[in-house]
Amino acid sequence: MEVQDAGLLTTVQDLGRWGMQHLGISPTGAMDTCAATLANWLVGNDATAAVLEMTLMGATLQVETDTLMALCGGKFAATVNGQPLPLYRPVFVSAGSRVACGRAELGARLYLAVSGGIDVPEVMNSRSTNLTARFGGMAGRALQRGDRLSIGERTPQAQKLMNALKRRGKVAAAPFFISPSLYSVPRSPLVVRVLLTEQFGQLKPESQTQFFQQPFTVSAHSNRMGYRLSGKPLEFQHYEEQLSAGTVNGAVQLPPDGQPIILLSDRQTVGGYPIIAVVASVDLQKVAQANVHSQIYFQAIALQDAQELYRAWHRAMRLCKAYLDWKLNTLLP
Amino acid sequence: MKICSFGDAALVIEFGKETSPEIRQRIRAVMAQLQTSPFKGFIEAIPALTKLTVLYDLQQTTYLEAEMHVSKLLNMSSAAKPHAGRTIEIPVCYAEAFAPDLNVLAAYLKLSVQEVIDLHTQPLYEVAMIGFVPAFPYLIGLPEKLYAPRHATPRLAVPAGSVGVAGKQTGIYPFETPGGWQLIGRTPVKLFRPNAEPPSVLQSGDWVKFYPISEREFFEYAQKAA
Repeated sequence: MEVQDAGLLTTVQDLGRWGMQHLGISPTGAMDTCAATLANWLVGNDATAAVLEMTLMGATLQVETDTLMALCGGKFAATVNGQPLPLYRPVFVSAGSRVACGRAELGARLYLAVSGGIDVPEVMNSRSTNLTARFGGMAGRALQRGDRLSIGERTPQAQKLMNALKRRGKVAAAPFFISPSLYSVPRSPLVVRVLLTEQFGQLKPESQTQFFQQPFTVSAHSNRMGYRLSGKPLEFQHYEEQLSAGTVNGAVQLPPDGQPIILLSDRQTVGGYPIIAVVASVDLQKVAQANVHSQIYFQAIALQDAQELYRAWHRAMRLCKAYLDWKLNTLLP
Repeated sequence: MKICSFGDAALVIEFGKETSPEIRQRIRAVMAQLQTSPFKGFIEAIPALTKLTVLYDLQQTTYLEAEMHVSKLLNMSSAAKPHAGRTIEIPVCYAEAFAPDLNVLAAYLKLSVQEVIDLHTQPLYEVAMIGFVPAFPYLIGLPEKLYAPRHATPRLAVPAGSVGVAGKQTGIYPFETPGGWQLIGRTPVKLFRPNAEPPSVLQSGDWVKFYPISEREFFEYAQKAA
């Protein structure tokens, strides 16, 4: 595939470069891991295959060989050769086609998976792009016009589906898709569930109330490192200088200006600002799809409930995988 | 010592309120033990000055299980020997071309440039932790006479290898990034090598000794490394 227009910020990502944070190397990886995983499964890839992550304005790609692809994530107005390209399902796209991923109509990030995966070299067991230290992915940077992306080897399953779709035309979508009950793009205002930390208790009582009652607006300065939120500033009752300590995805940091920042995939591995809450794992994908100016309400959740919700979600994902495997193995009529 | 949950997929072990060489060694010992004999669902751990953050996989374990494992390990590891750090000598060129802030800093500290260099190369610095950006060492041991404020407005691009001081710390920028530290020299050593194993030349617990080199030596070293 050749990049004709790179869009706003298109990077190669997988599920992240874990295990290196003690050396200051952030996990990076797809912000919406659910969408990236589903896109991969739709085309017969492992969840860990590399995909393209696009932000707000998608890329335009010239497809040079017959390809089976799937788009998943935010609702983008994608087209192939000028015709609408359906999301959330596998689509056969013949050589010479032009895929334009368009703009986000809902959500913020779109994932494009190609059967076989985006083939860039693995660095520290991952193909994710580390934009800060400029390594991984496509030469450690966002895609640019003129980049050519190699594609890995398809599974026999995916090849079979592709051959079947190919008989239907130059562009052909499979008759199965991801159910909106499993994946749907959140609309503003979003309710994001959080687990409170000890430092939350050091906020002034009125700030503690405010944290849950006021909507926070996603600022335009948000990026893959973190989402900056704006609202009425939160204040500490007594502020203790913190020694830097490890951070996690979803940590809600409160710098001295009182405006929270949700730390995400490209965050620094250690931070010195107090962390007042952590987003429940199951809601991280919601945050990843929150667009600039979206509103966020925080809601407290207990540890056990958060862990159970995650496991329930994971069971649903496994069911979906079984369904997709069955569909990929069933030849089309 | 205290263990508490941190979100739904991590826990934090707090070893004390203040940091000390003993606490940092203890953190490293526990970290090493987690890496060599990980519990089911262990993803990774991030050591810091007083805390160790442990990340686990929710699909494989629960907080209660992870906490149980970690507390068992903490009881056992009181006998574990902390690993001895290596001493790594790092050449630094303090020549004006590489040290944009050295003259002003020396004047501010009421020292001569040579005195700043002597003071900076004198201690054996402890790599207290690695973080902030890949391979960035938090070095402890800066002589008090060199404590200096950081720039009010950070530079947009600090060249790779720049050696700086700020507050009680000294450090080395592993690659070009924005930064607000006072730059007093540059090393030709590449601290971050994404394709090497390990990718960071320095590890938490190592000791760093700076030694001065000339501009010529800097370029010779850089050429050899390339």
